[in-house]
Amino acid sequence: MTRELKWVTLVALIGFGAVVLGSAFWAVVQADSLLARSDNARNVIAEQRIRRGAILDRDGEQLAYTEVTGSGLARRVYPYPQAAAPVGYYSVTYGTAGIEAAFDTQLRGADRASEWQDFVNDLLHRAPQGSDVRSTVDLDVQIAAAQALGSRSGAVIVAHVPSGRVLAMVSQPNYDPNRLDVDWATLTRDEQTSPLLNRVTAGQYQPGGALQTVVLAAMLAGSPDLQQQGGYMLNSEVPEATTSVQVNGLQLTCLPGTPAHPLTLAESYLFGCPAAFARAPESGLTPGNLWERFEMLGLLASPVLTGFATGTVNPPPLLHDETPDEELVAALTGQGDLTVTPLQMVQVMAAIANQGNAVPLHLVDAVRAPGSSDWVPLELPARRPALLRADVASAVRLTMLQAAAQSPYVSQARTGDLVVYGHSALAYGGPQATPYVWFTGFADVTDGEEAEAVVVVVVIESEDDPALAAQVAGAALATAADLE
Amino acid sequence: MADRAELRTDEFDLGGLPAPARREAGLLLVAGLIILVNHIALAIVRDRPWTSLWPVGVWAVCAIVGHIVLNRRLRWRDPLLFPLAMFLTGWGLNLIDRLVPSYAGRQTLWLVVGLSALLAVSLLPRDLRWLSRYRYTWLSGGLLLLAITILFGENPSNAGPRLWLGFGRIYYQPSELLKIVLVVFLASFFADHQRYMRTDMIRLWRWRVPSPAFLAPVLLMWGVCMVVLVWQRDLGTATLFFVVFMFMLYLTSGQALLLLGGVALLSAAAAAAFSRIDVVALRINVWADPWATADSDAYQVVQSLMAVSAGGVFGQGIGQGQPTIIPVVHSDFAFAAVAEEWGLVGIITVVVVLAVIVVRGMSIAARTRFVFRSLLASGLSMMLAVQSLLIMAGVLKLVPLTGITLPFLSYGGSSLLTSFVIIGLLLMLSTDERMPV
Repeated sequence: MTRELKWVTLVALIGFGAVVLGSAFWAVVQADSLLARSDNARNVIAEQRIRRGAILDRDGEQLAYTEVTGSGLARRVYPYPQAAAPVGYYSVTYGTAGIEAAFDTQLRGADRASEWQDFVNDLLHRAPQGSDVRSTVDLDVQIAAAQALGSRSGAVIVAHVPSGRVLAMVSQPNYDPNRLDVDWATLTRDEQTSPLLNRVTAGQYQPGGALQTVVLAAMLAGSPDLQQQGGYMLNSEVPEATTSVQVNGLQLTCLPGTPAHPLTLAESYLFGCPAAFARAPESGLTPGNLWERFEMLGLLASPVLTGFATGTVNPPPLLHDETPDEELVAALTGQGDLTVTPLQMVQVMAAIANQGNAVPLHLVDAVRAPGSSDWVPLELPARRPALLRADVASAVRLTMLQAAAQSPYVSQARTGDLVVYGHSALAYGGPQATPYVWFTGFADVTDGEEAEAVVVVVVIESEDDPALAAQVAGAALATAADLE
Repeated sequence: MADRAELRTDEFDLGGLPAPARREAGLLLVAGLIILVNHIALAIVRDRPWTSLWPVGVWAVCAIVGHIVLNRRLRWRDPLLFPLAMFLTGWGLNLIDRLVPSYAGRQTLWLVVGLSALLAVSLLPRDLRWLSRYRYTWLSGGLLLLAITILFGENPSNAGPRLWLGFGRIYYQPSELLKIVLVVFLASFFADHQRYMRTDMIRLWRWRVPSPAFLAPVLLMWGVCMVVLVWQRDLGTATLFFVVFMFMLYLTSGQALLLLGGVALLSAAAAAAFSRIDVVALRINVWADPWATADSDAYQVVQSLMAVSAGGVFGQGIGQGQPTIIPVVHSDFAFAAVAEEWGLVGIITVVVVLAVIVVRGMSIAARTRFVFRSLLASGLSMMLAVQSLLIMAGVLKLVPLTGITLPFLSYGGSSLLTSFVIIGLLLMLSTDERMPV
C-alpha cells in the first residue's frame, strides 16, 4: 500500500501546488486588470479615501473642501452653491466638472506623487492628500452677479483686464453640488433647462445684435487711418438706418425707444439698429475681412480658459465673396450659423478694453501643496497677441462709452461715478426663435499708471428687455469695481 | 522542573526519535507570537482597547493545556500536527475577529470545545479497535443524525440549505460528524476485505478489477450518503465524500483504473446534476464565465478574485483591505480574505501548513503495519486535504465553487470540532508508530 500512499500524497501535493500557482496568477499576473475593473469596489473606496485639496476664492474663502467622516471616508462640501459654475462638482459616481475637473490632478495630489511616495503611502495605508487650488473668483462679485440674475436663465461672466482673472461666472439654472448624487436624475432629465451645462463656457448662443461690436470693429479696421477718418465714419449718417432687416424669417429691428431722426453709424450701434451693419459690405467690408475678424477675435475656435480643457467647436461655413447675400446678412446680424459662448464674448470685450490685446483669461491662479503655506503661481501664456489694432479698439471703446451715455439700456449699467462702456443687444435663438438679451461691456477701474478694467458679459434667455441684462451687468460691475 | 529533566533525557531516547514535546512547545510559541502580533496590529488599526486581545489569551491557555495533556497522554505523538492545527486556528481567530467581530466570541468558544474533543479523543483506548469493531453502529448513528437533520434541520441565517441542528443558540452540522464516521467505516470495511480485494479479481475487457461482491455494499452505503447529501443540496460535502471514498478505494485495491472510473462517475454525476439541479448549473456556469454575471450570480466569486488581486504579494495587512465586500467572507471565502490581507505570502503559508499536516498524516499511514490504522490515517488526512483543496481551488476559480469551509481557518464550530477530532485521531495513530520499542 506504500506505493499507493505515495501516489495519493503526490496528487494532494500537486493540488496544493496548483492552488499556489492559481493564487499567483490572480495576485500577480491578473492583479492590474482586475483592480482596474469598474466594478471593483476597492477603487471606489480608495477614491473615497482621497483627501482632496480645497478650492478657495481669491480672498481665501473656501468654495469647496473635504470633510472626513467617522469611517475614514472623505466627503466633499460646497459652502456656496452659487459658485457651482466655476467650482463644478466632484462625485465618485458621476465624475467631475469645473475647477474640480480641470485641476483634478492637483486636487487629488496625483501631480506630486512619486513612485517611492506611492509605495510608502500604500504600505502605511496613508490617505492621499491633494493640493489646495486658489481660484480667481471673488465670492462677493459671484454672489452679487448670481443675485442680480436671480431665477432667470442665462449666464454672467466678469473678468479683470489686463490680468485676465475671472472674478465671477454664473450659469442659471444652477444646481447644488452638495446634492448632486441625490438630484442627478432630475438634473439630467430636462434638456431644456440643463442645469449642469455651464452656460458661460459651453452655452452656444446666437450672438444677434451683440455681434455688432465685432462688425463695427471689422468696419473700422478697414480704414487705414482712423485718426483722420474714424470720426467721419462713425458720425456720418447711415441712410435708412432704422429700417428692419429680414433674416431667416425674422424681422430684425432697432431696440425699442430708438429716436425717429436719421442715425449715424455710432448711433445705429448704440440703438442696436441692424440695417447699418447688414449693409456694411456697401461701405467696403468684404466677407473675407469679416471672417478674418471672427477668427482673430477667437469666435471660430474653442474659448480659451487657462488650465481648462476646451471642447471642439464646429466653425460655421466660411464666408467668401461667393457667399449668397442672405447668408452674409445673417452672418452680419449675428443670426447666421455662428454661435458664441459668453466666454468668447468676454474675450472680445477684454481685447477692446485692453487696447486690442488678448487677455489670458483664467479661473485658477495658484496651487498650494498640502501642509505648505506657499502658493505656487500658475503659469499663464506669456504671449498676448493683438486681436485688434489699438486705434480700432480705441474707436470701439469710445462708441461704447457714448452708448453708456445715450442708450436708455446701456445707461442702466452705470452706478455712481463708474465709467461704463457697453452695448445692449437682442438675439433670437432656438427653433422657436425665442428672444434673449445681451449686455457686453466693461468699466474703467484704472487706479495707477496701467489701465485696468472689469469686463462683463450677460446673456438672459427668454427675455426681450435689454435693460434687464444691463442691470445685472451693472450690479456685477459695481461690486467688482468697488473691490478692484 | 521534573518535566524538564525528563525532556532532556528524552532527547537521547533509544528509538532515535527526538521527543516531540520541545519541538511542539517551540512551534506553539512561534505560532502564538504570530497570532499575538496580528491581533495587536488589528487592535491598533481598529483603535480597539487592549482587552480586545482576550481571544489570544484563550488561545494561549488552550495551547498550554493541550500541550500538557498531550505530553501526559501521547508522549510520542507527531510533534507538528498539534501546533500547526493551533496555528491555523489562531489565525482563523485573527481573521474572524477582523471580519465579523461579533462572531469572535463564538469561534473562541468553539476552539475550547474543539480542543476538549481533541483531548477527549486522546484519553480513549489507544488501539482504536473499538472504532473498527462497531463500524455499522457508527455509520447508522451518523445516518440517523443526518435523517434527523433532513427532518428538523435549520439554517442559523434562516436562508440557504438547512444543514444544522439547533440546540438553543448553538448549531451543529451533522454532516461534519459524518466525515469522520464515513472514513472510519470505509477504513474498517476495506481493511477487512483488502486481502480479497487485491486477489479476487474479475476480468473486464483487458483489465482486472475487484470483484463486485466487495464493492456492492460500499457503493450502496456511498449511494445512500450521496442521495441524502444531494437531497440536502450540500454539494461540497457530497463531492468531498466521493473523492475521499475513491482515494480510499484506490489505496485498498491498488487499482488506478478505479480512480479513472471515479473521475468518469463524478463527471457523469456533474453532467446529470448540471441539467437537473439549479444550484449545480449555477455553480458550473459561474465557474465557466464569472465575468458575464459579475454583478449577480458570480458576484461572490468575482469579488473574491478581486480580493486576491488586491492582496498582491505581501497583502494589505490585517484590517487594511476590503475583504468584507465579499458576501459571507468569514465562512466560504476565508481564503480570499487571507489573500487580500496577507497576500501571496499568507496564501503560501496556509497552503504549506495544510500540506505539511496532510503529508504528516500520510506518513503516519505509511509507517503503520495495520491496514485499518493506515487507511484511517490516510482517509482522515485526505479528508482534510480534499476539503482544503476544494474550497481553495473554488475560491480561485480553478474548480466550480462548493460551499465548504477551509479547515481551521473558516468560521464554523462544527467544522472546527471535526478538524480537531481528526487531528486528535491522527495524533493517537502517530503515537504508536513513533513510540520507541
